[in-house]
Amino acid sequence: MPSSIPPFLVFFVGALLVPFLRDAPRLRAVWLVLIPVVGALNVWGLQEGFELQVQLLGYTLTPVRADRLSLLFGYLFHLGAFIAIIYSLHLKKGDSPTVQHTSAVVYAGSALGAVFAGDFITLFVFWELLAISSVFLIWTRRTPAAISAGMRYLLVHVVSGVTLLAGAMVHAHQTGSLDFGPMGLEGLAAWLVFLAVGVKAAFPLAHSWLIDAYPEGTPTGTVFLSAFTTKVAVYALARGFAGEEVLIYIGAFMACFPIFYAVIENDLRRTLSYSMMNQIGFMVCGIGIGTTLAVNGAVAHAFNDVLFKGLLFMSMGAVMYMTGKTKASELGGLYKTMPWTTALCVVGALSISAVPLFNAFVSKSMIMSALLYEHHYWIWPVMLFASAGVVEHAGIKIPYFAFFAHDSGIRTREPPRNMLVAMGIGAAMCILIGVQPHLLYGLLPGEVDYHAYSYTHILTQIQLLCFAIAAVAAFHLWKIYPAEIPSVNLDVDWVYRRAAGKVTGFVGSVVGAADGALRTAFLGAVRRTMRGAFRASGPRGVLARTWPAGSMVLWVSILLSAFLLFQLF
Amino acid sequence: MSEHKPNSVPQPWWGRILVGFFTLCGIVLAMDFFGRPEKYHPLEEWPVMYPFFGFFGIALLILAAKGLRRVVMRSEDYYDAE
Repeated sequence: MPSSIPPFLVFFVGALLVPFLRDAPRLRAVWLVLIPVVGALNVWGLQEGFELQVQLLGYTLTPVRADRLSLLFGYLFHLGAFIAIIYSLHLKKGDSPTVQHTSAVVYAGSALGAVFAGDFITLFVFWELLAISSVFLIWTRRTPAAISAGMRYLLVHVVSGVTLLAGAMVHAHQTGSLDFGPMGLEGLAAWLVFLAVGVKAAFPLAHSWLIDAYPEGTPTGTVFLSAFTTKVAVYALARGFAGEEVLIYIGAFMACFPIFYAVIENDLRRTLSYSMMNQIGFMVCGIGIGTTLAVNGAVAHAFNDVLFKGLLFMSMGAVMYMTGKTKASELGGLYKTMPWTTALCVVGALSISAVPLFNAFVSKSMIMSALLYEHHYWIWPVMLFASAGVVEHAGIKIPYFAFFAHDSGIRTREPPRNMLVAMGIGAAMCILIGVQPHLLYGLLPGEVDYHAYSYTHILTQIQLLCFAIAAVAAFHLWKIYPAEIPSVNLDVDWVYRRAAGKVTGFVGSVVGAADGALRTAFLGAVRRTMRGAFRASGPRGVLARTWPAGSMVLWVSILLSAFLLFQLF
Repeated sequence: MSEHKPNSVPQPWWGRILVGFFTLCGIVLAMDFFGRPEKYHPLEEWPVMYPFFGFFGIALLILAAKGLRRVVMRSEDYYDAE
């Protein structure tokens, strides 16, 4: 049945009732699961080409625009929300369930609002709501690190939103329209919007909010975080900047640079955050190529990333929930007590590594093929290197150090059943799309004429993966693989977390010293003047003496004589 | 450090897994010599290009990451200090 209800409305109305169900956990669980189910039915009923428009101050706003691109992200966000909500159903009183569930549902609704927004004002509103609602998923962890990271996260995203609004205003001034569509990178408006989207997409140098904040979220909160914010940015890039060549280079750099950090990172959820940036690099690159195959590949990879990255974050969240630890140096040997979680994590690892029959294989290959078809011969080897790098940090490192490696001595048990069910759904979807890629291809915005399972592609991918794994195995056997060391690694956030403070302190001390010297010099001058004045006009000063009448007469005579002499000569 | 602690997986298992895995590597390497129908990049003309890229790409990644660690690694309480 055709629907015309804005997709975000289902979630916002759903979120309104959540706080009233705080004392009825079972009812709350049913209600929470119903929200994405009803939302999905609503989106399924949205006709392609449907637009909801309103007039505001002489401008036409389009709060809902349904086309193949927005509908794909709509389906994805409902699926992501459904899995993440199931994953979070066990939350108890100490976990602030009301705050977490309410903010998560508003967050998912905001993501839907953003991808169905047909104009900049609607996009801006949901852009900021995304930041404001999601920060509670970090703050509710309640550690000092989480509070600070959440504050930095909020600051960065609010700045991104304000930049987006500035771009929208300039765009409206120049074109007289607030419609959000293909922009191209010409003019101030386009660059401002591009910058705003780039911050949310975690472009290099603007990426550290992701690395900083996601690992500090609650075990369930980070699963929501991994699904929405960056994917909204990928959607915005696909909508506004497809085919911009600069994105190919940004994407290539994004895909490569974080994998070096991922190798040496000790916190496994931070490793996954670097991995997320690496995967977004593939999507950005695909959007930059701009052909139908490449853009299809980019959005298909975004779809798959929500599933496999969500699965990996869920498995690490389960480990964190059960053991309180996420650091590789403190984990290991958990496969003995968490066999199901181990198996599901391995499915996520196989998926992200693009092993045939798993979902990344059918989407990443579209981007790699597009690079070859469009003769980007220098970028292709770079992306191939990044593909191999994924195997190391996400394919091997995550499951190996958490569940195998050295025996940490931790003896725990499987996480709550709802967590396992959510991970099971994620894993099943990874395999289903890997085995039946046409299910995803049929939803993509452009027509798909691509066959992932060619002999050459299967063989070359297996060769790449096998020898990448062989290199890791060899480095382990030769004992030159970097050990997991409790540490932090400096990244771009060092600039504002450390350097900015030091520079401010230095500038403050220089200004303070100059101010002090100036004040001292000025006061010295005032003091000297006062002293001179006192000497001259004080009780014994020359100007304060009582002069006798005779001396005055004498001086008057001298002056008159001098005057007379001047007159005569 | 973690690498000095005992492995949690029984040694015979590891042995079997590694033997099986390196056999698979040998098979896929040999298959490269039977030809590939699709080649788009000049590099793909090279024999065993993908295995080479996989192995040495990861080797380069690990060695470079070890070098990076010397520059960027700090103690865990680095940002908590002061």
